[in-house]
Amino acid sequence: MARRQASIPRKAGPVLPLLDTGVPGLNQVLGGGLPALSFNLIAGGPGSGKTTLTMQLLFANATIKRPGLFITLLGETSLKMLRYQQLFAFFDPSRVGVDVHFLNLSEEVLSGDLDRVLTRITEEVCRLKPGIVVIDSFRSLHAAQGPDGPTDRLEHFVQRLAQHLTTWEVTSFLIGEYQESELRNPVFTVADGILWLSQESNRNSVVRRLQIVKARGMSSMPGLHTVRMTSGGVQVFPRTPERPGQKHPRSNVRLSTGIPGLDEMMGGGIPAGDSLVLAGPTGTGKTTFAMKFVAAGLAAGEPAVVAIFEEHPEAYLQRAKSVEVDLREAVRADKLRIIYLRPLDLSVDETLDEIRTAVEEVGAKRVVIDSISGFEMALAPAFREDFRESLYRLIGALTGLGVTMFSTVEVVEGKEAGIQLTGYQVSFLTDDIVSQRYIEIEGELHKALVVVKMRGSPHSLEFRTYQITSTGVNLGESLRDYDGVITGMPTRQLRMPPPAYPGLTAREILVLEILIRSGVMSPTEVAKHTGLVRGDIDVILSRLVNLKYVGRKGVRYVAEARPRGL
Amino acid sequence: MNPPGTVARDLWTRTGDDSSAPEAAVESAARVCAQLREGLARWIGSHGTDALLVRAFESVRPHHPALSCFEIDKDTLVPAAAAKVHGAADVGAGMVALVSELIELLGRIIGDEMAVRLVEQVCVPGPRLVVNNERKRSHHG
Repeated sequence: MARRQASIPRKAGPVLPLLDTGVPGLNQVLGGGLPALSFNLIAGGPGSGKTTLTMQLLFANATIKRPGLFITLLGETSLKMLRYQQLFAFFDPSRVGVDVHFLNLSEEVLSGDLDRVLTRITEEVCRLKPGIVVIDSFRSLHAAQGPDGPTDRLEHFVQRLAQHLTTWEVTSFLIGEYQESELRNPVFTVADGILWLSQESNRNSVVRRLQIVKARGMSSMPGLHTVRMTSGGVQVFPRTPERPGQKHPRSNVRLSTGIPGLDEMMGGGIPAGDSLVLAGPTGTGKTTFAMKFVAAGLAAGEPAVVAIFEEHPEAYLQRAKSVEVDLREAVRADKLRIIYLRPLDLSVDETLDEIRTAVEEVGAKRVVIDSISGFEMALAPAFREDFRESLYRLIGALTGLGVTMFSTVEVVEGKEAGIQLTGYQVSFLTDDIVSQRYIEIEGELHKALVVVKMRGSPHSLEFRTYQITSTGVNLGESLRDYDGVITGMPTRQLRMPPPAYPGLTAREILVLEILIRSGVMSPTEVAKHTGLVRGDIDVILSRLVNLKYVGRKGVRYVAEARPRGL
Repeated sequence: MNPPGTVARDLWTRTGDDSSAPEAAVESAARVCAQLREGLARWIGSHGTDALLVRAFESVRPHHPALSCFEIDKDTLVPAAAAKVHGAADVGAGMVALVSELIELLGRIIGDEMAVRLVEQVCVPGPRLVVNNERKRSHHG
């Protein structure tokens, strides 16, 4: 018998007061916010965004009663810091000297006298009574001690500093350029929270990431979170959980694809909340199918979000109109959001954030990703390595919101037989798959599609041709009479209808059909109607009874079987 | 935002003294210089402040002989040990020019608004500015 694992009891009691970091996404990553009065280390390499993130946090929390104090030691000069930080939207120059103060202690640090540094800090804290104190760069204190400087002095300094700042009810941040190999540094031990920022260059893209190495008293989100710096400041994109928390409950509702005939092939349409992938080679009309899906939703009052990667929204709208799908009015009415993502240094989490925000804002029921291949191209190389896993997280997160997803993916048809799906093993990722392909019939190129998979629901297995016309998509004939469709070169087969009565001879079938038409008959009557001799009739009836095609009613016989198809 | 010249004149009016004897004006100039040095060093560090003060001094000295009451010692602007005596008004004009130049130099690095703000912080004790800004904020809601 399986043992039930005991859950760790949660203690009901005091709750840590949390500060709003003012950095979008950071509260979520930290598990709700930043614990007030905590002593934190913001660590990472040069250019990873340490100073900007902390400055943003300072401006978000400084008040006149509890101002913010930014102390610069060595490293980036105060002049340069002021020059560049002003470029960010959060930096309000009118607050400088009012509720945001700067203090330069480079002279004290250069003297190498840690006591003097601490004295100046404590003096300023006593004078200003700040709620937030930032010390940048704390690493310079190590340098000022020299390579052979006693580490116990620094340890002692950190302890005293932390105690002092906590006593003055200050939430503090030490900024430093540290390496992972330095995790045993005393400052790491004392810190309540460690936020590790990193920057990775790959080809022409730069990716910044954040990891919460330590967060005392908090349930922070594990993993590496994407960080983007813009003129607005720093934004954190929380890593989408690998296991989507909850799959939206499946309903019996089916959504129309907007393509006559395809819904029937799918057993009534796409089950609401499913993720469908339409896979096909270039030029098979994947985008047109997606547009029809969106249009069908809009017609049914279901707002939509379309994420495109390969063409500009204006071109997309124009193309939609060319197949009689006018999406402009829906865009104007904010029933449809077209998200164009092509910066080539995207992360999956940023993409998800953008789509999710749009879904929530327009109340979308349908989401199109056109295409997965374009999405992969738009990602920074560093994120392409684990694209499949990322895609899994993305689809899980979006379907978890209850939307129905329609993704397209381009496949390259090879010579080998079989249905080419994708290079991403979409079967694992999606609920439903429709595959398109080119076929040659009598020297002409045709397009055909087949419903490959509908998770948990019956669907047609037949291939059908289709055409992309000026009005959209027209499904054509079934390719039931063809073999080898999946090779791309099908051949028509002359098929004999299956026998109506398997295992019977022509004379036995004749007797049986007479009985079916006439009801109950004696052997004599059967002989009369068929023209067969009585002796043969007895043998035939005996065999039909044995095969359960015919039953006895006294001395008479009655048909019990019906031909196939009736 | 007040123009650099106005901020400089305010600073001199508040701290300096050009209505009395030349010696008193020189003492006032030294006091203003020390106040600037100390105040700005809080924000941008003593090395940065010294470098700016020296550069501003070298720029305006040719036009203001009364600034001979200062000299450069080890990259720092200090009161001169021996200087020719100039009129109090000349010392005042020299100091206003020096502070204006300092603000302009600082403004080229951190922007005019921020430069004026920092020097005003030096001129005006914090609480007054805080109260003013608090009022301004409450007006903005």
